[in-house]
Amino acid sequence: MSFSMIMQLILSGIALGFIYSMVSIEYTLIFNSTGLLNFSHDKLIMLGAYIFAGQFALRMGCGYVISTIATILSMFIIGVLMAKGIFNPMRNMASPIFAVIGTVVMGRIIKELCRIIWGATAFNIPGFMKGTFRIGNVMITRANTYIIIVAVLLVIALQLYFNHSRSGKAMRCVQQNKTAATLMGINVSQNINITIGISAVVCSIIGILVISLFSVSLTMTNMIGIKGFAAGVIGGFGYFPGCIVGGVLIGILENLSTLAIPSVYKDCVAFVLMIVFLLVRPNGILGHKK
Amino acid sequence: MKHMKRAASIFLVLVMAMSLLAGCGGSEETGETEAPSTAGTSGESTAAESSDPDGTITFGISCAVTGNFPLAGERTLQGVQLAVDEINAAGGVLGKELAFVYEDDGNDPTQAVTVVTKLLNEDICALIGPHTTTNCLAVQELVGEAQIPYITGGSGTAIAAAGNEYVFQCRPSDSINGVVAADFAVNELKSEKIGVFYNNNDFGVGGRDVVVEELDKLGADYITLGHNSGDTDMTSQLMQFAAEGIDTMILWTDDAEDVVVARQTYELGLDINVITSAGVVMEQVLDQMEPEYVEGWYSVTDFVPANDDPVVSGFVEAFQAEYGIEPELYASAYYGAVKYLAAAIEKAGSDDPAAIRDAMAELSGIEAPTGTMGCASDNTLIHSCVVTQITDLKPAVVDTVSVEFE
Repeated sequence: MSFSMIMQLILSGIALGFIYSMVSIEYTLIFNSTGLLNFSHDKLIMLGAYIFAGQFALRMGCGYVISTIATILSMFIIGVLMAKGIFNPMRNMASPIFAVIGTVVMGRIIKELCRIIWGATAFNIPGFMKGTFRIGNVMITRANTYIIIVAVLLVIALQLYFNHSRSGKAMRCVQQNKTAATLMGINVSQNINITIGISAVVCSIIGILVISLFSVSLTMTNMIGIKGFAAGVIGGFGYFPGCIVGGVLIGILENLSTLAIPSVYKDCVAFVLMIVFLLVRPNGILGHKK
Repeated sequence: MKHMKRAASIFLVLVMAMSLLAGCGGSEETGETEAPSTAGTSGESTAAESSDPDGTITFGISCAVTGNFPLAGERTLQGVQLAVDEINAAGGVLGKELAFVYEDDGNDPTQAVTVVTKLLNEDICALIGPHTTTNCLAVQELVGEAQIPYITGGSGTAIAAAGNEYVFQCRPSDSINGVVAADFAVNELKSEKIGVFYNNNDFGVGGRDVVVEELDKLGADYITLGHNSGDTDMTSQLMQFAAEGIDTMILWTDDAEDVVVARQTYELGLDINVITSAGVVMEQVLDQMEPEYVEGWYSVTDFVPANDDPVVSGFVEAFQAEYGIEPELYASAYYGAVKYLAAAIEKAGSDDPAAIRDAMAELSGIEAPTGTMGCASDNTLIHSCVVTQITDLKPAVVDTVSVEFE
């Protein structure tokens, strides 16, 4: 067990951890804004990857920059439509279960639509984010580097938006008290539409970043969807810095755990940690209270 | 006003759904084919003259058209449709037209039980699929009770161990592939230390057990490590293999994990021989990789399109002419299964399921793309496999290994 092996495990753990963090951020946005959990969030990540790779990059042959911009725009529109079709009409129904089931069903619809439109075959973009850097004996892939950089920029951008822009501040008002926000002249429904649009954009960014790691397939996001949930609980539910801390902690710990326990139990680490935190420290590591 | 808004929302969602659906037409232009559209409607007989009930012999198919493994169902139906077309073009079976009905099992054991129950209540003479060992074990008692012969592509050793005389396996059992992989590592590659890397599911663990048993028999030095289905980071296991100084890795896993292991083995700079289970040679798996990831990899498999054998090349040409793509494991295995079934119906001289079962158990020497089919005492139909090596993403046959059977 050499030093370089441990460094290698930590580095790839950090990159995967940042993916969990972004997943956690993306559903935290919706939870904060509507009080609902979006159970189709992993399918939205998958849809982002399909739109980027299947539609723009491969079928239409656009460059990566144009494809990224087009994907982000399409996903924003899809997010807003989902808000108009599911979250806004259903959030005030007798029970939040209606909206939650709505998102579950939406996830199934998105998945089968992807299968019908782009086919069941998993695929990849040749040469996309390929390559590695070497620092001594430790290898870091280009994809992992991009993931870390984009995740950090994304968190900074979201923090600036929520704390310094007018519409971002309005979103925080809506999170805290919908009635008061309405009385202050904030259009709550429209606000929720935009929040869910932003969440869909974050989903599409995650989708694009994981293409070279997971390939584009109908099952590509199954595990990161669940671990993103765990990341939020461990870091501090509904709080962005908590998402980052929780995600990176899971990523590193599950990789390092393989030094001590058989590697097939690696996935348990995230879920055991989640249960321990729910029992011992339900507010998460950062202990943020709403 | 509120109603209008709601109506507008619903309208917008419908428009979105329609516009997405409208994109479907494009898939044909890109060369992707959709089998179900050519294979008739689910639950309906596909024979052209199905208006004449005495003129057809119908069998049932259960495969995964949706769910987590939808490509398997698509290719299965393409292979089956091609075989049925060829048989009917040559005059059908017993002078009647061969037809099939299919149901979607979603590669889910619960759904498989439901659709198989439905199929068994229709007038079918035999059942092909569900695929995978897990699904097969879920439905094998049902077909046994209904006394309908059932051919599956599940290759797990647990199927033969269940001892159901109505269940036949149309792909080489892992007890063959695993032994061949272990022998190849020790005898051909002269490996000194072998790492066995397996998927922690029925398929991977079954394969590992066979490989490990053979390695013990050969007195080879080895270590085993596992990963889970859907794992996306294998760094820790590969680093452990590197630390142990292995020179050959025997990898027993599914398609998605093959891709992850291949990429990370390359990125981490591991210079080792790799022998894998069957899936990696399929075009849909290789398409996800860069050539350098799998350069020189070996695979123990039942079928590769690049094979000089006239039966294989004839099948590949016919399949390409029909669908514009190369056939793979599922298409070839189930194409062979239909051919075997048709031969059994001819031999039985009737479409009585019990008579067909008895005929299936006695047949031998049926040529199929995956090898010469014949029934062994454990109801396995294929007794050979090929060792292939991948060069520039193209698998080519290195060796064909047949085993004796009773």
